Amino acid sequence: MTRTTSTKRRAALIAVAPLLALSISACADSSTNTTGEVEADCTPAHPDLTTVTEGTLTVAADVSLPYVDVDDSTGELGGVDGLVLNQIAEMECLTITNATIHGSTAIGSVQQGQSDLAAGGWYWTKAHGKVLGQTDTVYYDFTAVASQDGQYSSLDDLDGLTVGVTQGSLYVEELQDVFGADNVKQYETLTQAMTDLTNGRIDATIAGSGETGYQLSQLDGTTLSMQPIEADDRLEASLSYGQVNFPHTLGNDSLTTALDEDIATLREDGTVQDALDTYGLTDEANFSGN
Amino acid sequence: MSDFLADSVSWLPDLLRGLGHSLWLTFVSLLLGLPLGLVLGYVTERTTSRPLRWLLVAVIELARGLPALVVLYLIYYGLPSVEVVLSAFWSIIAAFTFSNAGYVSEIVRGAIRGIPAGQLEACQALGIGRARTFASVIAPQALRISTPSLVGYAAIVFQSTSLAVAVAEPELLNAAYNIGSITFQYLQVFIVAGALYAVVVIAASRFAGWLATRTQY
Repeated sequence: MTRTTSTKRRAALIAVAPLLALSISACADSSTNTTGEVEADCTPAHPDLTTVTEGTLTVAADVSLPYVDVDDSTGELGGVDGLVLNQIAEMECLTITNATIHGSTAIGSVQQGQSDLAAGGWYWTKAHGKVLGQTDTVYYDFTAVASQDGQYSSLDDLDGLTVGVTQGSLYVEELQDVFGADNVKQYETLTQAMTDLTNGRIDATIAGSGETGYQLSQLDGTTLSMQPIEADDRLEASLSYGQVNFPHTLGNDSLTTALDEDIATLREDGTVQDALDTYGLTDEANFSGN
Repeated sequence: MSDFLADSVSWLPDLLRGLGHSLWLTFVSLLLGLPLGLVLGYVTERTTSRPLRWLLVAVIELARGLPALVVLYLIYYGLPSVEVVLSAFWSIIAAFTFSNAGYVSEIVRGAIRGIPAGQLEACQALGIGRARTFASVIAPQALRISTPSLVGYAAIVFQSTSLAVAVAEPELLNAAYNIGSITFQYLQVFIVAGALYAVVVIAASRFAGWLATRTQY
């Protein structure tokens, strides 16, 4: 397996991958929304910006709160990433076309040139960099352990137990080295891992704090809770924060430049912080990475 | 191309581990499903009790009618609500055994019907008991007739183990997913995984074909 040393939150998998291109078309057609209005006299922040479809920013929305949501009635993007993208579209005088496309299929959609970018709490990784453009960091996510009564917070606590992670997360290889492959169970989605945690099939989950917190908030009367993982040299993600960004079309330099500069503007003017606050990512570290 | 080959080689250890697990799932589910199917098939075909026959036919139809994935979800996600929590492995085995029993019973019933009725009548005329008739006359011939079909079915069961990815069991497809989700080289990794599935299935199919020629009356 290609070894990655950087971060990656997950790549939830829905479509049958060998038929990826076909399924992308099917998914995109089935749940596509176009939102936003552009004034006739709108001046884009980056006039030379090119997108897949002129005048619109096409977003492969990997719906997963608190990162991305799509409003059922209006079709508007929500979630932290969604709120930021709405602002970017406004700055660039673009409408947003979003298609709800899950996990790897969202990345496939960008690779295939059907979407400009993917949104869904994607971490910056070296592996992504080989096939996608990656923007500067929009915000940060830290690693959390969920367990019954939040009883575990360190790798030593979890020794000999079964830990659930999402497929493709940066934790997999390192955790397998620490606990052994049999004790690290990989799930397509964190929801599945949480279900098994609730049912006692596994002892803990390790995932991003944002998604873990959101998942726990959806479990009525649960005795599960999460703790930030304690720093440990054996797990790189415990030492640094996941850098959430927008994976986008590789080689579209005008898009990279526009996104990077717009992100900088939105971090500066408080838009990103507001979006984080709106979705409960209120830890200072979520913004600063420290 | 050389990158693809180099990547494929680097993925092989993980994929082969997954393949081994897929084969193990196939083996265990057949080990339990085959005898159950044999008994179901024979009893359904030979019982003189109509209610029992209807009941067994209902079970067989249910086993064949319900998609294995639905049965798997019922066991894995449904049973915990009544305090029955099976591991992913045993949930898969239970689901596949149920499905296997249904399909195997139909194969066996077909094989039993292929045995000339005159042989049974001869056994009865000679005063040979039912159990001995089954063990000495019916079963050997039924097995011989149905073996190619059963081998072919085993290949289908092997392919079906890919459903186990739905409950995060580390079989071949899951291993490929894991690699793809890290490297994003989905096309390449699924080509390699598909090739591994194909090698096993084609080999099994060839074996079934060879058996069919060897076991023809």
